[in-house]
Amino acid sequence: MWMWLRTLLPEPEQVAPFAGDADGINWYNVAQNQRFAVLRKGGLMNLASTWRFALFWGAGCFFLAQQVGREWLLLPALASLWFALGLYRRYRLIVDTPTSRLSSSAQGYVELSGTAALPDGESSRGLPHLPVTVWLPGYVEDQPFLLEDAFGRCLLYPQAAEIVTRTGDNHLFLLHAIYPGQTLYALGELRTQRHAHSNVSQERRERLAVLLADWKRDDHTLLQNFDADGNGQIDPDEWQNVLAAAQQWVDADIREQQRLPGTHVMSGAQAGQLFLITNIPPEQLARRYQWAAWLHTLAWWGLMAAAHIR
Amino acid sequence: MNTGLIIFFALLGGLLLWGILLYNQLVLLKNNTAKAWSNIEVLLKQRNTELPKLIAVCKEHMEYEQTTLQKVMEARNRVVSAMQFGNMGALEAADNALRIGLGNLFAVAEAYPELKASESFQHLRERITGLEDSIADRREFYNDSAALNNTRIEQFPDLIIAKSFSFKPFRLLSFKSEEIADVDVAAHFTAGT
Repeated sequence: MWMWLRTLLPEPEQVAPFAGDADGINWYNVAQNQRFAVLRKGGLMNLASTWRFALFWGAGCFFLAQQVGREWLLLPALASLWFALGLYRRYRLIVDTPTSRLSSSAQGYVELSGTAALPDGESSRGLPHLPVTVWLPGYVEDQPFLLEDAFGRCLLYPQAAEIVTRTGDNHLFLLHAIYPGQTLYALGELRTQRHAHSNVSQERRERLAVLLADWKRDDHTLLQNFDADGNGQIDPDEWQNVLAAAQQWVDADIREQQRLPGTHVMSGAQAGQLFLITNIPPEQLARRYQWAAWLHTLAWWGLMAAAHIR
Repeated sequence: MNTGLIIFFALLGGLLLWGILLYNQLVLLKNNTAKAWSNIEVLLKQRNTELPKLIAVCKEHMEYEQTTLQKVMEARNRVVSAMQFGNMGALEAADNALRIGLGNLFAVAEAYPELKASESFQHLRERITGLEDSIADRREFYNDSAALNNTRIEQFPDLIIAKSFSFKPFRLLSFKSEEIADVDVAAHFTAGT
């Protein structure tokens, strides 16, 4: 349902990079884009796990009881139950999912931890005059970025991810962003795209044919390398040498490709499971979800009791 | 309907939702563990495919080491058979024997300079080292998954759901320390390069 709700939130307003304040940024637009984007990417559940939300929730319930009637408290009570279940599920997923090392890259639903980095060939990302970011809500939301550990790298596609960030990682203390080098935690479906080993013989034949066709096109080089008796043509015996050399070349190339590590990718999760990316330490985030789940459970009970009191 | 009745049904509904949530979490843990096991199985199969090639290369050069080669192949066949029948105990024992056999094989290979210089041997050696390392990592990942599953199904209130729906604990893959010390294949490889 939240996926549908998030589509209702306004899309970021485009910022003309050098049309704004003296430093080239329209700070009002930045703040506005961040506000909606944080909710759109982080989801309502993350909002429901904050202290600010608790205050807002308490005040809203008080207003409802005073102005509309106590029996109407059943509605926020049910919403609190929904928050409690969602937050408890998130807490359990973080605590109960084993960590995969990128060196062995166990496939399936796993958690990864490492540091954030920009993909190869990209040196800056984000807004001008701001520190380089790998993810900046409202501006750079869907471009992939890397999670690196000591043994490998995984490309994260954040389009379908729930992204929870903390603020205050630089002098722009209200900015929600993920910066290169920050500790990153990801929970989702890991798959590794590898050079196929299964059909090596067929691939070998095809590559051999392509290579030989390529060599045949360049008569001069072929004769120079393989015309042993210098009669200006490749005899059957000499052709066997050409074949052997081509086979050796293809085999060496296939071996080299097999040695290359696969590309690890995380782009979602199966069947409604959570795909989470965060720069908050997982223990801290799990604790936050756990407390918020219990508080919402208490709110559920409390609000139902309050609705019953005459 | 009066408010009391609504509250009663809301509480009942809430408890039912908690129950469904717990059940789904236990199913997820069970599937995670099964997947962690299939993660190991993929690599074991790859290693089993690579081993006959390695043995074939070694046979060409190692005329007087037929017993060592035979031991490796026997252990490999036992691994294949244990995997086919899903016998975890037999698999653990066969895998240990295979790792010990491989350790011996690579130690013996040091005495054959021609074999060491062979490109095919070097490639297979690298492949098998990589697979051994990955199997060790994934075994740890499987043990983590199984431990999480086993803890949850013994905890209250999860055990009520676990007992009702017959969730079973998974066996951990344990290796004795002396066995690990005996089969330091990586050390043999580095010594040979």
